[in-house]
Amino acid sequence: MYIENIDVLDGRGCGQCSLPFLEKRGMKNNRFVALVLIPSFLFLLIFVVFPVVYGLGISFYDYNPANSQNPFTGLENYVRLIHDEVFWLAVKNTVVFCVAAVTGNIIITLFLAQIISVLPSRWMKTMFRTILFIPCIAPMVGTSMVWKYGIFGTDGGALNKIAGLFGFAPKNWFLTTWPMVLLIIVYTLWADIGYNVVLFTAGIEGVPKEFDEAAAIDGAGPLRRFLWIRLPLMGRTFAFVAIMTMANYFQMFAQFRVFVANGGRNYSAMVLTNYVYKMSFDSFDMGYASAVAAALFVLVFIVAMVQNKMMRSDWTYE
Amino acid sequence: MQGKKESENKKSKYRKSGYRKSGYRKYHYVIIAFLSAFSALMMYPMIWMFLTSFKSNAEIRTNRTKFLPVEWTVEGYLSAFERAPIAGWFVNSMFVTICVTAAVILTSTLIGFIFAKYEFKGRKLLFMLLLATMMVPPQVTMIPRYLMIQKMHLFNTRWALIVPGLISAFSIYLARQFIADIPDSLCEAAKIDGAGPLRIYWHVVLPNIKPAIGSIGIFTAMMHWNDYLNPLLMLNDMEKMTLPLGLVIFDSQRSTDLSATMAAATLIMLPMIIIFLLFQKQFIKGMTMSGIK
Amino acid sequence: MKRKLLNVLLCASMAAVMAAGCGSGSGGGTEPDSGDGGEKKESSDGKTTLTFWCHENEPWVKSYKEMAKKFEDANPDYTVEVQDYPFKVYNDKIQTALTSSTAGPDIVAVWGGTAPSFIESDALAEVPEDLVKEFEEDYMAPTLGIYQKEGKYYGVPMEFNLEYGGMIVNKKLFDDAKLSYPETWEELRKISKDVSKKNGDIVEMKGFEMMDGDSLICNYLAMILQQGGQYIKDDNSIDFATPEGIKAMEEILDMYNNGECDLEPLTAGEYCFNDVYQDKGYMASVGSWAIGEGSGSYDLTYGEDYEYVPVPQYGDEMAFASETGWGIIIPENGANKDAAWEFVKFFGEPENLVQHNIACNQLPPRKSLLDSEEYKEAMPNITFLLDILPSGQWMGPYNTSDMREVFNQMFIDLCQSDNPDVEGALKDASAKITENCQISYSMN
Repeated sequence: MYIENIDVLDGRGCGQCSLPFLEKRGMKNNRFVALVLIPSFLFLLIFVVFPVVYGLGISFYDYNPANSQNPFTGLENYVRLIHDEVFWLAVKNTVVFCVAAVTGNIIITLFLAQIISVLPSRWMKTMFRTILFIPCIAPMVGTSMVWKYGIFGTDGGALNKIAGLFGFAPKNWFLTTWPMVLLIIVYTLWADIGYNVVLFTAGIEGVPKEFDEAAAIDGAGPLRRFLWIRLPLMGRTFAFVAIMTMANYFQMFAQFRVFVANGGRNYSAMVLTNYVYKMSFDSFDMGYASAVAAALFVLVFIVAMVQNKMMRSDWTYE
Repeated sequence: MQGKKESENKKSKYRKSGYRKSGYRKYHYVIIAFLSAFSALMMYPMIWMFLTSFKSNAEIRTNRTKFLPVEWTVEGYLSAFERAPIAGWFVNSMFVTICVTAAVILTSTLIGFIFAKYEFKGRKLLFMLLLATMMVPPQVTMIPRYLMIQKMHLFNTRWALIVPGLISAFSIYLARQFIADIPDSLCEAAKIDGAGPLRIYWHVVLPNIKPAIGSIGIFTAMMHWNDYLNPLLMLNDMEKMTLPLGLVIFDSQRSTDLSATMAAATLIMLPMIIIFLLFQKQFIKGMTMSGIK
Repeated sequence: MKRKLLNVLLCASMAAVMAAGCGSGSGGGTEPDSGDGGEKKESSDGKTTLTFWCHENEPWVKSYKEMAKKFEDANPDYTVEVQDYPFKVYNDKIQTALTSSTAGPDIVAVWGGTAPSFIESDALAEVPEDLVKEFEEDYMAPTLGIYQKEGKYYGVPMEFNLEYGGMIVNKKLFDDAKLSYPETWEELRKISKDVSKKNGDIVEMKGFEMMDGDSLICNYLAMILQQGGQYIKDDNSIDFATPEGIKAMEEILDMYNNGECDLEPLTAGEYCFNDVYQDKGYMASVGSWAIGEGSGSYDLTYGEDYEYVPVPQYGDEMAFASETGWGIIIPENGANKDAAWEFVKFFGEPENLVQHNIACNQLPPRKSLLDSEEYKEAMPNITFLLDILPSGQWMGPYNTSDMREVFNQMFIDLCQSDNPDVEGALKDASAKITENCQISYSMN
């Protein structure tokens, strides 16, 4: 699990960069603190900080672990990056995928959470939430495989069966460009909405009913009540979900590996994570792959910044 | 926003006037019907997988339009067990998941306890640093981690999956949030009674954050049970693989044996789904807490 | 305090950068070869143990073990231990073993296509002179191609790899349609056209299939060469956009546009012959290794359900291009290199090699085995391939899997566009392959 935006984790003061809750005073026992924290942070240094730096270092070399010579090439990998069409395609696809899938996810899950929350009985709520959550339990490689054959399959896949009912001839979806990306987004939504439905239902139930009901008396329709009353009131959940989902989708990998290991038709479904993997472990071009990884890092950073800016705008309780 | 009293008044008013009926209730049947249809759609891939695993390959080829197996057979399962060490993969997955989950629960509550209840120099900075490590996506560090694991001679062992997972910043954060809610007076009282930090941790902190432990445990276990990237990088031998990786390898070796592939997929997903259905209340609660805290 | 900590962190990062730099600069490979490598592995009875690595494949491993046993009988001082690994991870295993300072395997079986990455790293032992002499006299060129670097050899071929020349045919379908196997290219196309049935992107019944990852480019290159054309120039650059190349591509596109076969095998990464075994196709071009799949995976009977017959020649002159197949390499860091070479020489002796080729369903790499009665008797179904082997040329100093990726992408694009610019596409693909897929070191 990784997170792009620290602010959202700040328990009380959402949007304030300082962590005011840490100001309070507590017990003192420096020996105990040191005994636990020094090894812990050493561990983090080794497994998180060092790899980032190490990776950056490798990106300046023509690096293949099997070679006896791995010459220093300076910025050559980055120059190659700039001229690499596939890389730019991967950047574009990654951004398109994330924005489309996250938007789709949030709209659908908000809608589902809202209609689930108005169901009359507890067991119904639980049942639907449980069903929606089942795909989240299964490993994505497994469910991707099921979709590859059972849904997208040219011969016998559900998609072509449905198309057949309307008189369309079966289509080989893996030959398509943007439709394949769309299908991957649909798969991702299927696999991942359960989690956010659960979070949003909890968020919606946390909003005091009185507000909503008051608005109803004032003649606001369900949609307007939802948009203007509930949504702002569950601002923190919303911010959390948006940021976690975005962070999560940037590192989506398994389904791309299963559906379009080589990036699909004309690399139309190549994303950065898969490109890093392909470059480093299919082609063993680890120097260049590290440069791509560095670019991925920068991209994630930029998105975190943008999100940070957007989320700061008043998603708080009054 | 209107004054509280006024809204109270209105509340009683609409109750009388049957607001609930006019608000949502008239949509209930529509909503239930919609959700049922949507749920069926959501379940379709899983059901398809399950049913396909009981078809023979010949039937999959010839009877494409039939949803239910014409003749139920366990051929696929036999073929899967025969061709792949699925039982071994299961044991590996279990071992890795249990080790990591136990370790993460321990480390995150202990470290979370320190950040929540202790005063020391550089606390804020260290906590920020901790949170900052969460900003690094795993794909950014996968090449160095692969090389490091090789240098550490952990490559192609279960420890390659366990060791790097021992500390999780997110879990620490979660634990800290829960521990912070324990009243300071409880810890102080224990301290005055002469309890050392570990005793406070064991007798005061842990019993008070049971829900958090459940939440962290579920989160960590699911992440490692379903992990594909790390085993893909760190494991080589067929016998050492975990279930998700094994399934992919299995599929790439026998892509025309769909019945066996789906049987393997079913075997891999079923235990988790059953556990989930049995403990779904705790699962959902744990998930919810990870989001709300 | 904070500043101090920051400084410490910064220093640590700097150190890390430098460590990374040094690490990658010198690479894992320079770790001293001696290490444990100097010591000979000797078992308690004073015998030297040779470790032989191969990939998991039942009949192959069995054959390797038999060869090992024969070698042990002839050389009582040695024991040969055969270890097998799943193919998926096999190359990584070799890669790691070659760069490790501790001695790994003494002898390694490799697929020709993956050999360059090992040869490039200077981690392999050079083939001794007496064997090189045998190469020049008795081994066919395509079997050697990839094992060269700067005029020296680093691997010994075990087989002639051929993905062209034969096809699996569905005998039942042919019988039911009262058709006989095609003898000429025109007959093949006619049958293919007549029997195929198309529905959208799926061809429900395929005629002649060759559009999968392995066969497509092999058939295409053969079609160019058989017209007397050439696709590889003297400077080793690729040029498909010759009149012969364009004609051959148009012929293949015609098959697709006629609905004789579909692109499913290409997109799903499967082999065409599966369709024939599943009664969904009449003929599929594939190497002779696929014969075993019919009885193994599909419970079919050779001669009753299916057969393996020649693909009719497209042009006047028999010609084709072929990749280098399986061979043996000896790691430079091995503990018993001399003994390892003894084993390899033993393996390559015609009377031993032929048995291995028979056991593994392979074609022999040595000219002297082309008229081996033993081979013909054991493999009656593929003797027709022996006749064409001498007409083969080596595919060229290219990473053939990268080459296929570019080629197949281009092909799919051509199939999908309504108004294909064949010449332009071939030109682009040629340039891309020449630039990106060539093996980085010089062969001679």
